[in-house]
Amino acid sequence: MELGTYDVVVVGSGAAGSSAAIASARLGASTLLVEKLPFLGGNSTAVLDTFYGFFTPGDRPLKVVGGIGDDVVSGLESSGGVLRRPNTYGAGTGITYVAEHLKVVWETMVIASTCDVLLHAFVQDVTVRNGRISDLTIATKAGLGRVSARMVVDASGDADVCHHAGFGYELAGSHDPAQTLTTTFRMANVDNQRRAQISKDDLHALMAGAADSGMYDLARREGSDHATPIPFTTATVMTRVDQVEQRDGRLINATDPGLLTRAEMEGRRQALEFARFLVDRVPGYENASLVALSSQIGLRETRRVYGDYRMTRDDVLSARQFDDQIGLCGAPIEDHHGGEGTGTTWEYLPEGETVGIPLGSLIVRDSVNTFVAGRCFSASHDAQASIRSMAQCMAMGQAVGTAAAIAARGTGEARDVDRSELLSRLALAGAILSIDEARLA
Amino acid sequence: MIGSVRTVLGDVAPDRLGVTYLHEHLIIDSVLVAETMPHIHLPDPEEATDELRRCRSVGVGTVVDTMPAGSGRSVERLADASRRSGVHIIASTGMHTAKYYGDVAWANTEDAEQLAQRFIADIQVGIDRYDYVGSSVDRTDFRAGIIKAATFTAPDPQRDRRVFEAAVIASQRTGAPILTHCEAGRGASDQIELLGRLRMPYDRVVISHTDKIDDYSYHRDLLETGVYLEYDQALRTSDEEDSPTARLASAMIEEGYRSQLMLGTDGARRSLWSSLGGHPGLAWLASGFRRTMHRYGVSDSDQYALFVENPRRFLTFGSTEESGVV
Repeated sequence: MELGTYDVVVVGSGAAGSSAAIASARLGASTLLVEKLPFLGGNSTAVLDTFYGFFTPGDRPLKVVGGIGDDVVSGLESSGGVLRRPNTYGAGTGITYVAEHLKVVWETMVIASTCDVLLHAFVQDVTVRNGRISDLTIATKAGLGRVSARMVVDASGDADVCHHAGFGYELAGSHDPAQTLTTTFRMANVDNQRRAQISKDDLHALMAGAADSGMYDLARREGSDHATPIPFTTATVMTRVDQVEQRDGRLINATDPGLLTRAEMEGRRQALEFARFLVDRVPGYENASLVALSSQIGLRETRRVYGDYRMTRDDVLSARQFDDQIGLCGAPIEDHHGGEGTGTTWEYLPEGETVGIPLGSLIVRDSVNTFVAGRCFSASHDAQASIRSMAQCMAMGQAVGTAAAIAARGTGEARDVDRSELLSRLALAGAILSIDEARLA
Repeated sequence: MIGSVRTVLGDVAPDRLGVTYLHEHLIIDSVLVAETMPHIHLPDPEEATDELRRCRSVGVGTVVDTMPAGSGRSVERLADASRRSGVHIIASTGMHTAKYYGDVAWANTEDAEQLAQRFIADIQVGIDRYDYVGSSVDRTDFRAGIIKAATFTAPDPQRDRRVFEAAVIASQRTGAPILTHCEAGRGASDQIELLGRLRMPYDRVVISHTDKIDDYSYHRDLLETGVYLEYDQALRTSDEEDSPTARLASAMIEEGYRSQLMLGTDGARRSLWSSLGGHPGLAWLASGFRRTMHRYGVSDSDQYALFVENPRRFLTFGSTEESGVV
């Protein structure tokens, strides 16, 4: 079955992929966005409800992402409102929204950009010759279909395209501990005012007490809950499922079908247990009920593709700047440890500083026509732990969508994109490319 | 030279320009300006550098400084500001309106061919350190990349003819483009008619300040001839919600003239510079005004045409010819 021929095919419609598709189509490239779920947004709609990364942490927050990210936030503001809340863990101001609204905001923006979309469509294979992906095989309700592409953006989160293409990546967990998995859930009928009377530390103490009592099976003692734009509701980031195992002498993670299946079920089991704890033990939750689980378990990292450049821990902590940077990140390295510990650790950039995200970290090393964006971009475990926030994913997506559209009109090679044209187009589309610009605003 | 853009620091490939402001004032310094027009007295390259750095942070790659020969130009200070800010600066030759010259003898007496020789030397050899107002001429290595010609509200047929003919001669011998100044935005039709008589190709001409006139048929008639128009009044109101310039640009793009429009700040007034405590700052054109235009329906691709593609095409030196001037 033929599904068409496109200048740019974007796989995965999360914050990175949807932004890439919108940017590409806005430049006039024929663009297809492929999504395995029945709605757009990836983690932004299936799992989470807060954008981090728009602002630097600290006392004098700078807004460091603009462009399509701004359009998304203004779409949310006009459809259901957002809640700007200072993050008590120090990740910078978060923008909390209603995920169901965001599904429609993404759809509205994608349709307006004249991008084609396939939902319920899962990439199964790609054809590669001399590093060039020529077409992708996509599982659909009607069977396998084929789509031809001049340029490809792998924004699948799990680097599915690069996996099928045989392009190099690092499996999370093989060198450093892999980030854990989280099933999020939402609680309704919460007395938010009463809940607000106890602190984060009080909540953690209650968790520890409940776990130590032996009456609650809590996998983590540091989870968080937060208010949402909907009155009397909260959303949580509490559950924690490890994703790394040794099997038959080799390492597997959440990209293993069996492990992923078990993780989904374990995440939901934990969610109900945390909800039981909240209702029993936490002020404000006395009359609350769990009303929604995330559509799937939240994955923070699984595969990290090797790009022309690979971002490092030193780059982040020294706030390095690059000549070809397409965006900025001020978020700390946020590590959700697996294994024995129950903690999450945070390491900060110098106050008011940001690290640049270079285009080279978004060009797939082993390909001539493939870009990568989102959490599977080219970075070490530590660097990814800083730069994976959704605002940065939108900045990466806008950059590679723009670059792919430029390349499609030119030679069809990712490395031939004129940097000056790309950076000018991004600047004129509202992207923030330098900390000086952020300070000026 | 053909196929390149001539900046003060040297010739560059057109695709290096990036976002370009087409009608700027970074340095204006003469005794006459300091005494009679102190609100536009801009003598300091450090202040220019500061303002340019702010522009650079919002993506501006190139600015055209439009003080021409003998009018308060200082090419050494422009070169200094360009080097320190990292922003390309294109210097001008040509002539401004009479009020900038006072009793400068050559400006009032030389014929078209003599003026053209000054302009050509500015473009091909280097601009005089003393801007043709000292007791001698000492040419620097910093060359002009565009020719300015200006008319005043009250026509002065003899002067206008002299200046425009000199500009056309210099353009045809060097390949440099011509930028005109329309006092109060008016007089563009007469300029175009004069340039036509001098056989100047219209696609090598940009007419400045016409957005002072809010009559769309005026703009339509000018654009129909094939000239470029440069709009630069947006900073005067710096209102992100209501902007006659954005409305005008949007309308002209809608009518199909996207490839003939360019933008600048004409930011000579000190009160416009944020580095001098003014408002909204020259950087605002590529940030605030960009947002305003977007609100008026000017797409990202349209803005790329106005800020990058059109200036790049226009500022690239064209072919030269030795004849053709009547």
